Amino acid sequence: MDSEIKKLFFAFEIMAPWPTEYPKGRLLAAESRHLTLAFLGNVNYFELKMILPEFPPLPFQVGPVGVFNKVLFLPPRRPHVVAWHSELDAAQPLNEYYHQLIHWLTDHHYRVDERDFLPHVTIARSPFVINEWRKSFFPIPMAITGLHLYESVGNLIYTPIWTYPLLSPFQELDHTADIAFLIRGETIEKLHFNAQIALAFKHSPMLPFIHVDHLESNLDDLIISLNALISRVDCEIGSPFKAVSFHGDLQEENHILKWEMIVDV
Amino acid sequence: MSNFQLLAPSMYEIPKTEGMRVPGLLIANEFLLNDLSIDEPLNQLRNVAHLPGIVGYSIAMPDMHWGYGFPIGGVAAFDADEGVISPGGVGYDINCGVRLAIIPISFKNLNSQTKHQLINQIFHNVPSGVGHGHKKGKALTDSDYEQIAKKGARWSVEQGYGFEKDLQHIESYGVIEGANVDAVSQEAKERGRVQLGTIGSGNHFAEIGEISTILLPEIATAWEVEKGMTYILIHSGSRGFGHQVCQDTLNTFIKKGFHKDLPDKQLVCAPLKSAEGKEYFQAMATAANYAFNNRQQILHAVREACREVLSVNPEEIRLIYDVCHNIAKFEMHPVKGAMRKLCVHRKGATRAYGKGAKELSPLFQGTGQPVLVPGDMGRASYLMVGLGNELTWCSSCHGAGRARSPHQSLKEWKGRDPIKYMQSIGVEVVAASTRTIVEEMPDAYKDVDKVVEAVQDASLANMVAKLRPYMVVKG
Repeated sequence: MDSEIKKLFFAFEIMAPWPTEYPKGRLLAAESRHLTLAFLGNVNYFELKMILPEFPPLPFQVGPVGVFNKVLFLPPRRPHVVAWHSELDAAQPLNEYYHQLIHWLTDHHYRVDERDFLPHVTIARSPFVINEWRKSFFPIPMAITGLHLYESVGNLIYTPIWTYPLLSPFQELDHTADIAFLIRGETIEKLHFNAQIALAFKHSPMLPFIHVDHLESNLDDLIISLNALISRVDCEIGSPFKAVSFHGDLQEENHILKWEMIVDV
Repeated sequence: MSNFQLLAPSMYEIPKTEGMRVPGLLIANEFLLNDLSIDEPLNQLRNVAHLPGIVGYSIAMPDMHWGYGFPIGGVAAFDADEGVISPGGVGYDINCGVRLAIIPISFKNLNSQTKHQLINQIFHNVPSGVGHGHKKGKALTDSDYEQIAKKGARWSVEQGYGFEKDLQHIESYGVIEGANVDAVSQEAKERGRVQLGTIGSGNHFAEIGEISTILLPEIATAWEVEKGMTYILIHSGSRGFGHQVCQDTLNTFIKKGFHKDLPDKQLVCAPLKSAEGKEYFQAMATAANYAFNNRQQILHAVREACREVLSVNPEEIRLIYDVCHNIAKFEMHPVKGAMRKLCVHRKGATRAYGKGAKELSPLFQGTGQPVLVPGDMGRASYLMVGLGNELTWCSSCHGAGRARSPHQSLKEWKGRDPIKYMQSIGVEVVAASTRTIVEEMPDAYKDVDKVVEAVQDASLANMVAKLRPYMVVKG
């Protein structure tokens, strides 16, 4: 079809250990939640598809991780959206990339919002009670797992119709007795940070203890550092983890490090 | 599995392959052998057979599953002079174990309101779940740690937690000799200071139920266990204190390269005669003695709950037995006709001495040692009696064994109410976290009936009584 008008936007797919209960509001289903980069509105998908091969490359191959650190009510005057603000570990490169993407879209004559990037995820739409949402909020970790062109099909449902190749920073694996994750990162420091966020997916109160460590390219040191973190967390607030196992090898594939982390619980 | 050799009912020899110093020994029946998740723990069983100084067999119990280096449900004995000690053969939760006590009240005489009150009182009295230490209690001092290391469970009895007679009903009288708190790091002490008398999280619990079936009346009579009685089953270990002891040792052993030439880094070990091996044993024994105290204080809190709700004198609540199932101990065993000192690692396995074993309290020398096998919180647990099987270094299983990961359980139970389901099968569960309940649902475990059948068929232990859970406190 030469002309196919769709309501489209570019957004990151995200994952988070979502709470099980929320205050009242028109909730977006967890699978529909996303972090918008650029909202295009009703545009001709056929024309957009023609330029997608030139889509500006992301400055990272592995999705960044971060924290939902505060609740936002948007727009500030007469808010009709409850959103959670994302504090990302790649905030600076992501902000630069955002401007690059906006520039690319405007060059192709798309009308997009050119205001500063506000990384956030819409959780619910009105009607809602601001104070209830404010009181119920607590920080949780989050991770970017993909980048898609989404179509808004109505009723707060969004469908990916094009995908940019991006690796998830971690994914949970099955393990009979313990918990296990495949962790990815561009550097050993990133791997270490992503491993901490993966642990925080299972125990979000440990978020304030997460830190950046300067490590040599040595998996043993990384494991020792993670276990020191678990010890600190256990001393201060309690930990569901006994320790991270000295398991697996550091592997490299297309300049990406990966490691299978097994956590004794 | 085609080359497994059947040695006795439910007992298979696994032939040596390259690098194995001894063959493997698997206790399992056909039902368990058909378990699809057997490959990883069997590889671990073979890897354990590579360790220096191993004697007899590398052994796996019918509840085996994938563990840290050693399979959970693994037993291995090492010559005290030539062998090694491996933290992976003990586990992170040093002296994780179980204790069984009897409340002198028929379970049928407890009405539903009383049962509800009792489980909630236990939940109130016994801190459970992540981070739930004894916030109001006294933090352990360094001097307390020294006494715990030296005296084991006796220390808690002297502090008023329980009774002198309890000590006769604890494996090794509640103390592992050779403990030395100087071998323990400051971090471990910090982690353990307010955790004594707490259940923790994960698969740990306190459970109340009914002795539903007597299977070996003469032994049950000797232990004064009767059908219909109310029981208490407690499962916990050395909490963060033991975890840190294990972690500190692994860090040291790995940094020193003690894992070189081993098929799995997690089997890292040190010669028993080396300074590092001796230091780990001292620290491990300290953590083991901490764990005995932990279970002693949890039982005390449960006894108090029974006093408050049931008006039962705490002294009338009889401890039947307390077993370790994550431990390394020096024991004497016959090897090729001569008695030999061995360091027996039981990782998810229980000591199961038979009649006449000198190591047992005189109370149990005429019967054999009580062996406690918790199943899952919905079906059953078992009280067994050890038969002193020398092929397994007098060891038995420690539970049902996981059939499904916590992650799989969460997926399986997504959108369903686990508490309501448990109520529908007659079990009231209270927990600090619903997630723990989901991860610990009965279908996450193998059928304990099949596990104890294999143990009995292989002549490791005999079933004495079946226990039916009705009220459970989870972490």
